[in-house]
Amino acid sequence: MNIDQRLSVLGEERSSFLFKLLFPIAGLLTLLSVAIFVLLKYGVEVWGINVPVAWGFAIVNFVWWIGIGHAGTFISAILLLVRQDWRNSINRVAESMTLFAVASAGLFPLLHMGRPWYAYWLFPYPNDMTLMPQYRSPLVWDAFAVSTYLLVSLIFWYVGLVPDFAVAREQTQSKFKRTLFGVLSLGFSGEVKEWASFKKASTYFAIIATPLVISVHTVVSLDFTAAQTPGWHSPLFPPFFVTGAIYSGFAMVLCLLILIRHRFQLKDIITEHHLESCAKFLLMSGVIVTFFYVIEFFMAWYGDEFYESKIFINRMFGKKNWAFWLMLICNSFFIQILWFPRLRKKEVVLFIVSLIVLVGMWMERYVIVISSLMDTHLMTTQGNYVATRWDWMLYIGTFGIFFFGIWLVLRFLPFIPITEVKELDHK
Amino acid sequence: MSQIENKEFTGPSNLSALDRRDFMKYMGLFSSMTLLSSCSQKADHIVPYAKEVAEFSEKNYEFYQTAFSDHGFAQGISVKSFQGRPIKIDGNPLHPYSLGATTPEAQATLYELYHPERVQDIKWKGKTLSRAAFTEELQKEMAQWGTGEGVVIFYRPDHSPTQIDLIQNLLKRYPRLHVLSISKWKQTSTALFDLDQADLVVSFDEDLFFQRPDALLHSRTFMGRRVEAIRSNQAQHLNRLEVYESSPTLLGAKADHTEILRPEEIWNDACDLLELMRGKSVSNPRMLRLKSLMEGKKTHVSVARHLSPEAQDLEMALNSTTDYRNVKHELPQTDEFSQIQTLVSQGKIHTIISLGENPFEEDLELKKVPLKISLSQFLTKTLALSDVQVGEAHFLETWGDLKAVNGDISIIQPLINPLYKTLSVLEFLMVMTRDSSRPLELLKKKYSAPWSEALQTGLIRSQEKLNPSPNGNKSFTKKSPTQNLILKIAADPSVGFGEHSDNPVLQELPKNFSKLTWQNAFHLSLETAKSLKIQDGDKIKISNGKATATGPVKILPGMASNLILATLGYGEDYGSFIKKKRGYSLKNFQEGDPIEVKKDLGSGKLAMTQETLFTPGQEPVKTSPFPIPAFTPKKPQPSLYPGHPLPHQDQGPQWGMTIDLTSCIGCQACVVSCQVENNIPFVGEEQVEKGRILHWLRIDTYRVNENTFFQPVPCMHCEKAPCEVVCPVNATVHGNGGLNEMIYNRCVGTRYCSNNCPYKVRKFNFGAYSTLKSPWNMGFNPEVSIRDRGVMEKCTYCIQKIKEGEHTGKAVTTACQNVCPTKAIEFGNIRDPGAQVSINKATSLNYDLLEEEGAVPRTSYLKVVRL
Repeated sequence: MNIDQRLSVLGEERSSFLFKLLFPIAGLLTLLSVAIFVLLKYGVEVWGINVPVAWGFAIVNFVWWIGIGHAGTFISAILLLVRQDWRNSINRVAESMTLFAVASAGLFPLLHMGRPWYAYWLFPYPNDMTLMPQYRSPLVWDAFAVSTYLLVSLIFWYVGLVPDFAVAREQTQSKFKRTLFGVLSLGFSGEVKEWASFKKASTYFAIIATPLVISVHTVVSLDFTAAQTPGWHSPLFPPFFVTGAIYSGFAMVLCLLILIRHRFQLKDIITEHHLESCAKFLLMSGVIVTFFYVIEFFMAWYGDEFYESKIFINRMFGKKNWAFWLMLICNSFFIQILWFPRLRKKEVVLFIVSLIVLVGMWMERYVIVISSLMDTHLMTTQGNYVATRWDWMLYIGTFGIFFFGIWLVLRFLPFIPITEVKELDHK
Repeated sequence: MSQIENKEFTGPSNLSALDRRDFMKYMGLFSSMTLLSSCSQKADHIVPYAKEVAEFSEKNYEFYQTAFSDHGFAQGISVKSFQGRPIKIDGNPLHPYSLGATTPEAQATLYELYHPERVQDIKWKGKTLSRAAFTEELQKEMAQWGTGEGVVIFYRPDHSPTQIDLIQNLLKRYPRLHVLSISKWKQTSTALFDLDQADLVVSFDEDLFFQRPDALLHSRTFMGRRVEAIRSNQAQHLNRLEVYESSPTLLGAKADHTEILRPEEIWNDACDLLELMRGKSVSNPRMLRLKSLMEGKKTHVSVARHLSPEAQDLEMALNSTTDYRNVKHELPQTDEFSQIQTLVSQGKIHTIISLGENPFEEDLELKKVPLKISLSQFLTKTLALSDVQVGEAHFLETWGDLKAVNGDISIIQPLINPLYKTLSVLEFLMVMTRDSSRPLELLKKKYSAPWSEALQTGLIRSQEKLNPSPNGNKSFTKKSPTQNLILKIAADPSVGFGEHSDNPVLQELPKNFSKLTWQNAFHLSLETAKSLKIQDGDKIKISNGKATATGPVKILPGMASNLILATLGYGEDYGSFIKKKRGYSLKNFQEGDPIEVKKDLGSGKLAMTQETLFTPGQEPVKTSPFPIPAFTPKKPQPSLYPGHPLPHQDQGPQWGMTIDLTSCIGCQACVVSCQVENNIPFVGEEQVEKGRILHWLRIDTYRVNENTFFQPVPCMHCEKAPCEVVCPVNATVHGNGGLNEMIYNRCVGTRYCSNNCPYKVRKFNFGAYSTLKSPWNMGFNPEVSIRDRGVMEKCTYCIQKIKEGEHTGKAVTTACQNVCPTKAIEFGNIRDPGAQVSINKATSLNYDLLEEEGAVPRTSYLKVVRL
């Protein structure tokens, strides 16, 4: 079996296994639908948010999902430009992950609104009252940044898929798929001219996507930085958020890769080298994130500003200090074992560390969003936050979107980039 | 108007299918309906003007003067009515016990008038009766009374001369009738004194500023004099306040010196002071100090009634040198309640009539009473267990009269036709006295001469001579001091003795010190709690051997040691859904009972709006020494950025507000006034607990170095408003008058503005809170939008009143400012140097809350001046 044959029918070969996976995914999607229905029926009062903690799980989850998306773009765009060829075999999984993570993320700011049916007011659209969004608000920048990101990610992902669709078109036995892939491959026939155009397009989109890796999470972080709220108002946030995003993104990539590699017996295509490279990125971003934690506390101390210091003291010893310590242990402690080359080649170790990092990064957003809001300027307005079952249901439900997307890719698309792996093989 | 239920008339679906017989049936029905309606009792009608009257043409609402019963005495109020519906209550400036201010209870009474669960009809042993049929039944019953033996009438102790006359008439006709009232707020004697004349005010555990019929007057006169002295820097004019208290009081919070003592210590101190004044030597350093302060100063001393049955006599003796007068207000009473209890258990009572009272909440052997008649506005235990249940009219629906503490009389006039088939106490008594005239005629007969003036001013000046109290030489016995754990019982700060427990707005009004809503709790000092090993929120069970009560603990700073403060007004099984089964009841507990505490019962919930009174490292309430330093204009803070001027700042008035923290006594009248004026819905206990209370104006309470401070916090209307920058859709913008305006229709509910507000004054409609049960929405102010689910809202500086001012050219006052008993809130055009608000801002007392945030608030505070 040549590579073409092998890689284009991976999903079909394991269709019964994948079919079984549909049940838990359907469960998650049901959970999501119920959570959304209840939310729209009764309003955001079903959540745990209040005044002063007016942003809760929705924003935590939004930032977390968006962050996860980042590793995909990072792998497919930046590593392409810097010619890290090892990325080739994993970039499709990473990109798909980006796409569905951003889709999951995008749900939250929408549902988070008091009146989500007016969400389009955040975009400039022609109307008879000549009303425009208020451009000084970071939320407007956010709306632009996230929608751009989703669009570019989608196009980039699709462009990369075109030659693979062509291969799949040739390899598949099913008539329906042949037609479908025929349309999707845009008539790609493998001529040299077409290959040249493809290469060029990939590079261009990589160039467009690269700044997005930095800009999207920078803009997301500006939601916090631009606010006057203590605990948020920090110029450290853009690099801090971007690194954090890559950190959690690589953790998610590793989790997915390890599962796929294991289940689809792709140890020769997704090699230890791939895992180790990802692990190195994980370690690097983890160390930088830890550094930022230290700097945050240093600045709070060095800045000697009353409210800022109060917040950082309360992070360690206040009402929600468990969130802070959990975050620190998950993000800065366990990651250190990846300094040992032997350990970072071990699937099990990497899988567990990645899961811990994902929890840790979620806690980081929880600490930033919720514990900062709880600590207000005036002692009389101090708040508290208790997430309700609808908060949890919506969060868990979005895994349904994410995994269903990944499932579709695994089942129907060549999720290991055939052409690029072949290219690597030739080299 | 009485046909308030707007039931749809459904006629025959197909008229052409009517046969002759059906046609005749309908015709018969309609003609008999017409006839029947025309032969009912002649009624008073309140009708809208058919043609526009000149004086009302410029605005479409009217004001009527009437009176609210504040612990049985008149508080003059001025009610705003829109198209025949009362929608807002303000104080009557001419009334001596209002002076233009009102209490929170008076403000919130609209929520009792429009309460959906009012008793709406007359039920005689399960059968709904018309009023005429009821009159007939009752009079038939009364024909068998003979001398009135075996009949008990409980009546609400309102000081209404007409009501008292009617009861006296009844007593004349049935000389052996038992008549009494048992409401805990009953007062038959009051003290009269002028606080503005007093150089020194001493209080032994009595809160002169709160829950007294003369509280508004006292707040105004005391604070009026103090503020005047501060503004003019006249030390000799400045009054001094010394308070000895066992639990936090509003008066104690404003005192220059507060001592926290146990009730018996306070009583003994008061006795010592009297001995000192009578020239005896006493070795009590506290009282020696107080006596030296009193030298050459006109002093008023008040002694709390709960300290001892002799408290009133001691108060009289302590004030013998001043123009203090004690006035008796007669209320007919033939028996004590304990006598009635015995008579009932002996089976000697055959009829009990309760007029607005709730006697069945006490122990009575009701099985032995064949006929029980109850008149009540809401479901009570008494109403539920009565054979005859009569709905009581709200005072805004009826005619009546009420005496003020000084004897002045106010006419209670109706603003709306009774919403339901209900009777007032007066009307009920008129049925009993076989008086077939109408209450209006009765009142006109009694107050014939100054009638129309009395209606317009809301006041008939008293001609009564009020005699000074006798100057006795009575001596008082001291109490032996103990350190036992004892109980102090007080009225609930929000719902009182239970008379306002059905009112959702008062239920949700945070209690002055504990900041609890919708419930009562046991309060003790931190030290006592520590020694008992109890924490905030722990459930405890207290017992005095006879009864028990279970509830959560809320630790209060400023409580005396080993004292448990418990409040009334809760724990009843009967009531509307607002009142029913909340908190604990203090039935069979007495003031001063020794208490045993059982703990480890788990934890109870505390629906609070403020978690802590302490504010370490911060100074949200600033203090100033006296005399106050000279004013130096503030230099603008250096900035790297060019200032951005407000649009249109050169045109029209620029609105601003000052709140004087010296004179704010924390009574929360402004909070309720704001709520009623601006259609702010109540949200319920669960939502308060989750932190979603909607009040636009809150009173922050702080405790710093044993001093308590109150700080009302409305929207600051920042010139550089942090909320405006972050709104993605321009829903909150700056207006021409410098107001930070909120455009509800544009709001998409991202709540970013709330996150960015340092003062956290923005409130969000997390749910559909404004959908109140009908007919509560009848009391909504038509000039203020109802906010939808998912929309942010906040104080608007009463923009509807500003707009009205712009149209009429009259001075603009905000709702909170109008009702403030101490005039602590000033509002106006800060560009006008002559406006009081500008004068206030140009003093050294003026400061901005959280000035370091650089938001340049339009609302500023005047520092607390401490001696």
